[in-house]
Amino acid sequence: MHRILILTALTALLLVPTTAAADDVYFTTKTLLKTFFKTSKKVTYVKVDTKAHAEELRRALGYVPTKDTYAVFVAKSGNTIDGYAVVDEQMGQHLPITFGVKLTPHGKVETMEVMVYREGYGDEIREGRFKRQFLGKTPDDAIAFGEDVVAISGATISSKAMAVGVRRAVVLVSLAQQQLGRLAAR
Amino acid sequence: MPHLELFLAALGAVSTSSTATVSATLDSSSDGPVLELDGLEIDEPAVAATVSSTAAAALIAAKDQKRTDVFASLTDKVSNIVDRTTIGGYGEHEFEAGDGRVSRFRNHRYILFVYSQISDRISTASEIEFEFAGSPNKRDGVLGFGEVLLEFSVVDFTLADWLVFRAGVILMPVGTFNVRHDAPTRDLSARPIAYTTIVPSTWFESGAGFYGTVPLGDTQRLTYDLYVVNGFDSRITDGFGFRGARGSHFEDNNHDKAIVGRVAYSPTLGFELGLSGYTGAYDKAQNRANLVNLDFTWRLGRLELLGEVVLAQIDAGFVEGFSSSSTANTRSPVPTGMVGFYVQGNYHFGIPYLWERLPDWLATSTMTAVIRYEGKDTDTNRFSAAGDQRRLTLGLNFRPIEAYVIKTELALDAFGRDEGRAAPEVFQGAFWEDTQIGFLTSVAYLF
Repeated sequence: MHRILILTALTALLLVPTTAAADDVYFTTKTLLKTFFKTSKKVTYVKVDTKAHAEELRRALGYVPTKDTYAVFVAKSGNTIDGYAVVDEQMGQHLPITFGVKLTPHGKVETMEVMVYREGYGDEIREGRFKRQFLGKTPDDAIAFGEDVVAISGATISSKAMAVGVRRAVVLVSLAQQQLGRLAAR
Repeated sequence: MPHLELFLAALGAVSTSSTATVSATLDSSSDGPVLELDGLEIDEPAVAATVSSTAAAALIAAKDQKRTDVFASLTDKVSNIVDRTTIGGYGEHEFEAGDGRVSRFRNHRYILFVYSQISDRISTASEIEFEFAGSPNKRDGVLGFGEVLLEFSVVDFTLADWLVFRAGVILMPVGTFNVRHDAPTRDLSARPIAYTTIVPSTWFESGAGFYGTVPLGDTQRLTYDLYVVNGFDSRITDGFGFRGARGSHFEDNNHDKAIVGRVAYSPTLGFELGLSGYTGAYDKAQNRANLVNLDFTWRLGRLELLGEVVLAQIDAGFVEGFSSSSTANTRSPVPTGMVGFYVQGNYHFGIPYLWERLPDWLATSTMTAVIRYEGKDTDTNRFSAAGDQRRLTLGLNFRPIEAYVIKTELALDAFGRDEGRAAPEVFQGAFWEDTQIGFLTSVAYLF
């Protein structure tokens, strides 16, 4: 009888909802920007035209992205740039992964977040130990699987996709910085 | 935009999660910077049906009601299912040639994958396999039944990250190969010989149990799987190992239920060590089959090392216990011990001179050189040509994109001699004197 009671109590305990729930960590672009740049005064953007920068992109990435323009978000407090962010998608195993990358004013990766993970498996790329690999990366780093990015066992394709995506974000920010520099010099 | 309502409800809300770096719900209209994004068309993500904000949860509940309401129109029901369902799959098509075989193309596998998030905590996933194009299938010139099989079909109920209840047709977590067997993610076409026989991939059984990830700080990871399943029957043979004994969608040959489980520890990103096992009665006399498996995966830059070893101990018994009219009752003695292993090295590389000259769409392509050495002995108490085997495989593959791979490989096989000699190891002269050479090439793709 006692055993039945204990088993019943344990089962009831397991069925109590916990905050862990399903790992449904999602951001929209706006919530991500507000999260990335909590202490900044405002966030604006510059557009990077991929056709205008085709040769630079090909040299840096090996390809020209298929999207004609990318928005690079710029966080500011007064005249000071607090950082940059890029929101983009990269194909995972079956479906695209939406992600955001935050960079320092010097163009180094500060953090990255998976915004939408649409597949049933492989979302271990949201683990801190995976995301930490990208910290401090610049266009001078390979940011590639097998070079300076280690894939997660069982989530290899998603891991590789994030490496490709973050590399693209870093290069786009470097182009945006050039654009902003030219504007400031006028 | 099918997720528009959900997206609008979710806009400004971030779900809470134990693993999230940001855990507070954030209202986009208050805290933080002013967003001066005029003129920018934000291509917002279509938020999936798992957002756990209150507003989104209410919409999910409303959709659930529509889906299950007997008076709802068929269109409503279908649209509320399609919104939360992903369909995908993979295929593998091969050409093989070599000693002792007729060269042929083989439409080896076509798998349809369906995943659906039923609610915030409940999801279902299935894989339907058409092997050799399914059914009918022509063998030796005669049409017969082929294989169209539900090889994986589960429903998961997430109680917590560390405790997910799973029921259905479950991939047996003995080692890593069986649970990570999808052809496009593997670097060789042929599966390891011990992992099609002793661990008979794709090995699935009907059952239920739990799996989860146990938190161990931010750098380490511990995962486990533990299930109770119908388990093997008595069709255990030298040569094929447990292959004939797997797969219990419908029946069990005894009241005993098998227990299967795996614990995997990853102390650092790129390294994982797994210990797994299986125990269960395989016949009506309660004779048991027991397996223990050790596996590792280690990523060192461009080099990836993986390996597994499996040992089986089987109580002495016979292939029997099926209904009296069944031809499966051969009464042959079952092997009492088996052992198998593989070690594999994958080296991923590009050729800069060549890659610079490739068109943009091939810029992220990769090549992989592979070497694998493996063996199996499906009856450790006797030598046989079918049961004792060693294989050395050299492979090269090309991935223009991650979802498509062209693989080629050359396999050298050495076999034992019936009641005379075990299969020679690669470092023994006999391996090279008595080798069969096989060539296998394939395309595998995800969709």
